[in-house]
Amino acid sequence: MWSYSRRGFTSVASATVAQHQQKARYKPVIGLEVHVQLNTKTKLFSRCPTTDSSPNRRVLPFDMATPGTLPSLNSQCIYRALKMARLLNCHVSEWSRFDRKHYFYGDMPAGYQITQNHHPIAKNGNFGFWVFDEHLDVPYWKEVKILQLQLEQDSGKTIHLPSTSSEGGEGPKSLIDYNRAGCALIEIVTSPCFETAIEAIRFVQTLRLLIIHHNISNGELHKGHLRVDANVSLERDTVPGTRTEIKNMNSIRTIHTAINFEIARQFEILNSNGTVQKETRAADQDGRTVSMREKDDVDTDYRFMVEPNLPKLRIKEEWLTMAEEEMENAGKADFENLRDVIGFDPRSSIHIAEDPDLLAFVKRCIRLRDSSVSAEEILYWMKQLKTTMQRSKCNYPPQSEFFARQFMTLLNLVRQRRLTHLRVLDLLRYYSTTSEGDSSEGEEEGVTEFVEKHQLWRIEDPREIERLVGDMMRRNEKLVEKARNGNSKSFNRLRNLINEATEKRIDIEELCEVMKQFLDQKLV
Amino acid sequence: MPPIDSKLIANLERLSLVRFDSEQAVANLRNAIRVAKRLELVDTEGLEPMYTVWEDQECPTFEDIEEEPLPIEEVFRNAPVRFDDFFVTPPGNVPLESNERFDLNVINEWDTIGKPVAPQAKSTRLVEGKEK
Repeated sequence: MWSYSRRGFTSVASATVAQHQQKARYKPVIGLEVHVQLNTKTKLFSRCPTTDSSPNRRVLPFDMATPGTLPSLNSQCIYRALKMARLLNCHVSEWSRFDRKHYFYGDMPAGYQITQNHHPIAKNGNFGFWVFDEHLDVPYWKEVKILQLQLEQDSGKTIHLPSTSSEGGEGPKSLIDYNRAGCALIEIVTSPCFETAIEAIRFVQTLRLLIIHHNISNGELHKGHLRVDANVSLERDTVPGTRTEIKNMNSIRTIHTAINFEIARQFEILNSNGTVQKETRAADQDGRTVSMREKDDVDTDYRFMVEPNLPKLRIKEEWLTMAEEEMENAGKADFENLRDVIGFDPRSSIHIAEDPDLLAFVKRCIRLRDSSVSAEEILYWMKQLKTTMQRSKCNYPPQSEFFARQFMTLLNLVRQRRLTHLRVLDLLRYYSTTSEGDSSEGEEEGVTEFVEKHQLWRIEDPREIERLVGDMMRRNEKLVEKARNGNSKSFNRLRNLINEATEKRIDIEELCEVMKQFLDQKLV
Repeated sequence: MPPIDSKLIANLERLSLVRFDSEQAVANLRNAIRVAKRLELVDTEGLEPMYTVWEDQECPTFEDIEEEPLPIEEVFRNAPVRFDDFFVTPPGNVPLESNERFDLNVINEWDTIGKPVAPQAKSTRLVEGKEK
């Protein structure tokens, strides 16, 4: 039934929902819970270091729930939570409290997680971001409501081993590594105000860049620094639907595909008059959602109770002021700069900021640019450069300062019409494939010297153009005849011959124009 | 005092991972609940619950300074099973079978029966395994 490709889910989801829009109005309702792993040096309630290591080498007695140990709250975690609260425009209450959330699982050694349920550190915020997509003609700004922000403990990591089938084989078992147990997490709970999977991922992408910029987390999705759970339901003619939860999606792609898959799955069920089960689902590697747990007869009872070992947390004024100051000093994030100051469109700003090499290249170009050069021009030529480099099997983008300077010079020269478009492409290819070599800065020949030496400037004089074209035409009588008779292949061949002979110094459009005039015998 | 049904017993066993071994155990629990329910007679209208006697104490905070983690041999000192550097547990999230094992009437009417020890269930088919 489903085509198992990412595009398949998206198009099926939007197509089928759209096609039925007249009969019953279906609206996806999506809420997110984002878990952000803080980059503090030690864990939330113990001073165990949080650096990477081999299994079970980052554990202190409290992290293993050793009887007799007590939690000691890390002040840096509070500080980062306050920064996050400011980022999300949340109200920070004067008092906050920790609770215990009970459930049994191997990676939760105490049998409960210390979290903040009833009195979280911050509540009632909002966050704005641009939503863009190849299917959207115009990007739009979306504001979402943030319900609450809470500090909580992370659990350990579990590796599931299936049963061994060998003789005297063992049953399935789980291997637990407690390095991560007790690390600080901030959980961000949004209101269910997302309507498409695209909105959800743009939220995560924008939030992630800001979190990295303000030094709250290292934000590496593949390392699990950012984990997203989504609650998805389909509203039918304004009647709310049953919610399913998709847990632990670890990459932007997975989030997008899994949410779309879930919308499509629920749509199929509702459309054939079935009922959606309330359950927890996981996303597999292709982005399909699969049922995770057996259907519970009752909702899981976490038996929330106040953490008796932690008195109420009072948020001091000076912490708030310090957080505010530090964020002011950090200024705009790179993608915001690209977008608001330089003028890149929202999609490119995020796309460039997410790739460190690309960002470095663009920053070099911006530093070297003439203030009249626009972001669109830079983007256009970057695209040409990328195509050229991919064809020559080189790594895009080039990383040298020298290349960036030549790139910007070329950009200026082509705007001033001193070089033809094709000549610039040639030079891009030349510089991108050679300038990454070992030769030192000073010895490299810049664009202007190179062009001057080889006399590659664009021919601007119309009479000169006519002379050269006429010359070539006289030497290729047969081709001219065929072209005159309307043979477009010959025309192109002739055009290419002239182009080569004049070393691409005639603007190709002008060249074609003059050739046509000759062929129509307006010129001889 | 609301009656205890098999759904509640199953739920309690699942939440606590403790098995009730007989009707008596469940009846004891029911009795304990009835005693505790007397707290509901106290009027707590409009009062904030007290979680600690030291109501004005503020949570102390600590600097983000690293300490030496436990050496790996210490970490595994009490572990019965070890696989390389991992703890081993049976797989989780296995649903608990909730077969009906108890005679609910005996449990729920125990106060009226008035015996210190719960009598044997009259019907044999509800008792695990044994044939009367």
